[in-house]
Amino acid sequence: MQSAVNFKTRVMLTAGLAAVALSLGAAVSVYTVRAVASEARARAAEDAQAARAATTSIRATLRTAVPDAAARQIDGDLARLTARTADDAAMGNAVSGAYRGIALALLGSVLVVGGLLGFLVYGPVSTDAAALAAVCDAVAAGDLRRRVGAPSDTQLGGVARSLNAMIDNIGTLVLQSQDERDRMQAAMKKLLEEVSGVAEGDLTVEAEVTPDVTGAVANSFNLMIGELRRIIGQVQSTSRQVGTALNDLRSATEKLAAGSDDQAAQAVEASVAIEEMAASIHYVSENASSSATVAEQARTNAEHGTRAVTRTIEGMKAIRDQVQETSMRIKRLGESSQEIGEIVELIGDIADRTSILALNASIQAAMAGEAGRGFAVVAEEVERLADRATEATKRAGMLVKTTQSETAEVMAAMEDTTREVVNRSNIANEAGVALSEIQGVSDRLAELIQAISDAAQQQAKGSEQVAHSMAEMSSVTKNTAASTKQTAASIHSLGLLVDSLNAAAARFKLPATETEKALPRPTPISRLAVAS
Amino acid sequence: MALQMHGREAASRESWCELIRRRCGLAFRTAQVPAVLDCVRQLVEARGTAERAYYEQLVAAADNDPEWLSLVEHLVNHETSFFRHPPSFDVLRHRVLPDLRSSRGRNRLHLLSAGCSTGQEAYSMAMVAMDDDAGADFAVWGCDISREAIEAARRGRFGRRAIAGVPAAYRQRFVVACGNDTTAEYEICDELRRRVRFSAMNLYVADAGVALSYDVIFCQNVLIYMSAAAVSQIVMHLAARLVPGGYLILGPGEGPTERPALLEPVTMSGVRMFRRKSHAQLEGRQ
Repeated sequence: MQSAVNFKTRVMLTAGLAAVALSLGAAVSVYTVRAVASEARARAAEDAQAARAATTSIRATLRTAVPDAAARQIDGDLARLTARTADDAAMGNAVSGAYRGIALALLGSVLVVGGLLGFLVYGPVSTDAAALAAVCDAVAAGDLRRRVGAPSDTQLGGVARSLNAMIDNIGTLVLQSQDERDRMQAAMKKLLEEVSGVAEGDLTVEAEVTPDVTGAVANSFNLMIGELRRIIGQVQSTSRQVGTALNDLRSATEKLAAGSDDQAAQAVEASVAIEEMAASIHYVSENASSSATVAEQARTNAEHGTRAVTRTIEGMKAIRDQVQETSMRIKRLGESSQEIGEIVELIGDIADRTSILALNASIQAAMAGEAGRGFAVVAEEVERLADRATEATKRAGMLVKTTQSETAEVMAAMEDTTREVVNRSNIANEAGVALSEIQGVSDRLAELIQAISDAAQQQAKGSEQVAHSMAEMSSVTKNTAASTKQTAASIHSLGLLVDSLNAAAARFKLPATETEKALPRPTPISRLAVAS
Repeated sequence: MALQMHGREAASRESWCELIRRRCGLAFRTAQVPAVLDCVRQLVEARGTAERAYYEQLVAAADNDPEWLSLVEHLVNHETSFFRHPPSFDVLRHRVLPDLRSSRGRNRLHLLSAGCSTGQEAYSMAMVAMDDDAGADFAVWGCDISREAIEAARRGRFGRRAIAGVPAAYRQRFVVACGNDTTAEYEICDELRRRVRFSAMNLYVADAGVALSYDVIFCQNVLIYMSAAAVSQIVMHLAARLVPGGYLILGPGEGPTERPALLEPVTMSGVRMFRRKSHAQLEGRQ
C-alpha cells in the first residue's frame, strides 16, 4: 500500500513537474511570440490606420477630381485595399489575442500544478524539504541555475533529483526558446528593414519570403504592396491625364470666356440699335398713318370740288337756257313792235286822209254859207283831231323805232352773254374734269399711302418682334458669359484639386516599369491664370 | 391733378406712361410697355417701397430729383454713332457752314447736338467744323436728359467698334489710342475736346436759364421716341433757340406734321433741314 502510494506519488510528482516544466517552457515561448505578435499587430493597426487615412483622402480627392468610371474603379480598389488592410490588422489582433489566451491558460495550469505539488510534498517534511522548497522558489522566481544539493535517499531525495533533472530540462528548453526568439527577432528585424521604405512612399521594395513564420507576413505584404503599386500607378497616370485634359479645357474655356464677353457686349449693342430701329419704324408707321388721313382729306376735298363744279356747270347751263329763252322773247317783242309800227303808219295815213277830208268838208261848208257854218265848226274839229292823230302816230312811230333799235342791242348783248356763258361753262367743265382727275389721283394716293401705312405697321410689328428676340438673346448671352466665367473658375479649382492629387500620388516611388506608363508631368494647373 | 387722382386709385400702366410722357415727352410703343413696367417694378423692389408710394413720390419730384433721374436713366436709349447720317454732315460741311461763315464773318459759331447721348454726334460736328476751318471760332454743345450718357460724353473715350465709324482721315487727326491690348480704347484729342461742352437737359422743358442762341442745331433720332405733341413742342423750343438764318437739321423723316411758324423748310434730298426765318420775313408775314 505504502509502495503503491509512493509510486503513485512519484508518478504524480513526475507528471506534475513535467507539466510545470512544459508549461513554463510553453509560457516563455508564448510570451516571446506574443510580444512579437503584439508589436506586429500594433504596426499592422498603425499601417491600417495610415492606409485608411490615405485611401480616404485619395478617394475624396478622386471623387471631386475624376468623375468617371476610372475614378470609380480606383475608388473600388482603394476600398478593397482598405478593407484588406483592416482585415490584416484584425487578423493580427486575433492572433495576438489567441497567443495571449494560450499563455494565460498555461500560466494557470502552472499555478494549479504547483499548488498541487506543494500540497502533496508538504506532508513528508525532511531536510530535503527545505532545499526542495528553496530550489522551487528559485525556479518560481526564474532562477534555473539552482539545484537541490546532495539529495537524500528518501523519497523526497528522489523528488529532489527528479527536480534537478527537470530544472536541467527546463534550462535546455529555455535556451532553445531563447534561440528561437532571437531567430524570430532577427527575421522580424530583417522584414521591418525591408519594408521600412514604404512609410516614405517607396513602393519599389519587395520583402524576402522566408520559410519561417515571417515568410507568410512578407508574402502578404508583397501582395499588398503589389496591389498598392498598381493602384498608385493608375492614380498617377490618371491624374496626369486629367491634368492634361484640364489644361486643354482651361485654354478652351478661356477663349470661350473672352469670346462670350465680346459676344455679350455686341449683343447689347445690337439690341440697343434694334430698339432704336423699332422706334424709328414705329415713328414712320405713325407718320404714314397721318399721311393716309391727309390723303383721305385731299380726296374728300377734291370730291367736294367736283360736286361744286358740276353744280356750277348745271347752273350755267340753266342760265344759258334762260338767256336763250329771254333772247327769243325779246326777238318776238321786236317783231311785235314792227307790226305796231306798221299799224301806227296806217293810223297816220288814215289821219292824213281824215285831215284832207276835213279840209274838203270845211271848203264845202264855206260854200254852203250860213247853213254850213255849224258843219264848218265840226270840220275844223275833225281836222284838229286828225292833226293830233298824225302827231301822235309820229311820236308812236319814233318810239317803235327806238324800241326796235334797243331790242336789237339787247339781242346782240344777249347773244354775247350766251357765248360768254357757253365759254364759262366750258371752263367749268374743264375744271370739273381736272377736279375729277385730282379725285382719281387722290384716290390712288390714298390707296398707296394706306398701303405704305399698312406695310409700315407690319414692319413695326416685325421690328417689335426682332427687338424682343434681340433683348432676350442679349440677356441669354449675358447669362452664358456669366456661366462661362463660372466654368472657368470651376476648372481653376478642379486644377488645384488635381495638383494636390498629383502631389499626393507623386510621394509614392514606383518601379521604372510602372512610371513609364505615366504621361509627362504637366504644368500645375493652379499656376496658370484663369481669366475671371 | 389728374395724375394725383390716378395715383390714389392705383399706379396703373397707363398712369406710369402718362407720367413719363408729361415729364419728358417720351411715348412708349405698346410693345415697350411691359419692359417699362418691369423696370419700374425693379426700382420699386430695390427701394423696398410700395409702387403707389414710389409713383406719388415721382409725381411730386422736381426735374432734377435723383429718383426721377434714376428712372429716366432706365428708359432712354443711348444708341448713337459717329457720323450716323452722313448726308446731314455733308450738308453741314458744304452748305450750312459756308453760308454761316459768309453771313457771320469771324464771329463765334455755336453748334448744338440736341439729345447727344454719349457724345458721338457732338464730336462728329466738331470734327467737321474743325476740318472746315481750323482757325475758326466755334463751340459745339451737347445736351441729353441722361446724366450717365453726359458723363460718358465728357470722358470722350470710345471702344474699337464705336470709333470705327469715324472716317480714316478724321480718326488720324482727332482720335488718340489709349488703354491696353485687351481693352482697346480711343480718346478724342484735347484740341477737339476743348471745343465741345456737354450738359444734362430735358429738351421737352423750355429752359429759360439757357440764354445761348445757336447757329446750327442737330436733333436726330430723338423725336422718334416722342409723342406727336412733344415733337411739335421740342421743335418749337429748338426753333426759338436758333438765331435768325440758323439751321435745324433733323433725322430723315423726323419732324412735326405742322410746319413751325418760325421755320422755313430747306429742300435737300435726303436731309430734313429747316432755316429760321429772318425778322424781315416774320414781319412781312404779319
